[in-house]
Amino acid sequence: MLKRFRFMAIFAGVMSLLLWFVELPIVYILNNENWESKVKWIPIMHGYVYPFYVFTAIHYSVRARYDIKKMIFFILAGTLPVASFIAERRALRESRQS
Amino acid sequence: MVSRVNRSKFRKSVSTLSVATLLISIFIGLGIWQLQRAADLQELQKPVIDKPAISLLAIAKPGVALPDSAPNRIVKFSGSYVASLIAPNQLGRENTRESWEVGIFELPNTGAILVAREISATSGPRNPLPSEPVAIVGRLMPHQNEDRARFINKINILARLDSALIADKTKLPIFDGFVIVQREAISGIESSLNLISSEPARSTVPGYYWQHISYVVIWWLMAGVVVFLPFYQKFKQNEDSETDLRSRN
Repeated sequence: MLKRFRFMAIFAGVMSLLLWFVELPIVYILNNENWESKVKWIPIMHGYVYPFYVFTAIHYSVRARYDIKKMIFFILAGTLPVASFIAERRALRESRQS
Repeated sequence: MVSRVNRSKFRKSVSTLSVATLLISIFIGLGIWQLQRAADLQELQKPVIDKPAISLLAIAKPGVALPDSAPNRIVKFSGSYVASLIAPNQLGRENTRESWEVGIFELPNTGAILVAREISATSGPRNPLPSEPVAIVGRLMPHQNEDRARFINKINILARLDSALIADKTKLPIFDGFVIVQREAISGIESSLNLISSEPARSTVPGYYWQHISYVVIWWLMAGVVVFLPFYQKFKQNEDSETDLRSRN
């Protein structure tokens, strides 16, 4: 369970980083159509990875008996580039402690 | 005491229900909005099939905003040019930047319209506008909203193709939008012009079809999560109180 959540958190985090720091600058700052066509897979993939991340975060939070606030943090962590890495670290630390 | 507890429980339930209902309707609304954007994108990717040319006056009136059905129609009209302007930095074929020769065209006793006649010659003298009556066939385009040329303070330069900028140059009422010439005939003889690409104007929706569909999935999933969370909270509270009881015993 933890392994699955960690994998999805890292995957969603990498996709968020690519979206925020590669795709968005190319589309909205560089305005280069040639590069734009090469990175168009990023927002699409990010869009489909996030729902899977949400399912994994809910599943993991229920199994770990997290309270509702922590569950919401874990769900929303997939939307920001670094937050999902923080969630992944926290989940690992807490599982080691328990 | 009991009724006060019940009342506070009731208030809490009502506020939770209200917040949940609000969030669910927002998320479902956002999903529908993304679905609409995906449908718009798909619609925009379809090729535009030109209808037969129609008289300009049949589709537009001077001094009135263009109706939704007017942009991109092929229109025909006749009259004469009264002034010559240049519209620099316009988007041409293959996204190249070019200057366009633009004329203020008057339809006798009716109105005036901006006509993008041809691509400006990069060197040599500019072609003079014909003084004879002219018949035009071209694509009617919506007016441009953003300046293509900034900080240009010359009388015959048009920062954007917008009839609002030529209000002082003609006494006739002005048509909204502008026309890109496809054919121009002077006394029945076709002019040889360096024609501007008259691709249909397309409004743009940023992003890709499957990207918008994925956002529909996300927003509706979020609505589902909002439905799930109060049940989880209840389950968690029951579980915590059971654990508490067990530990006391």
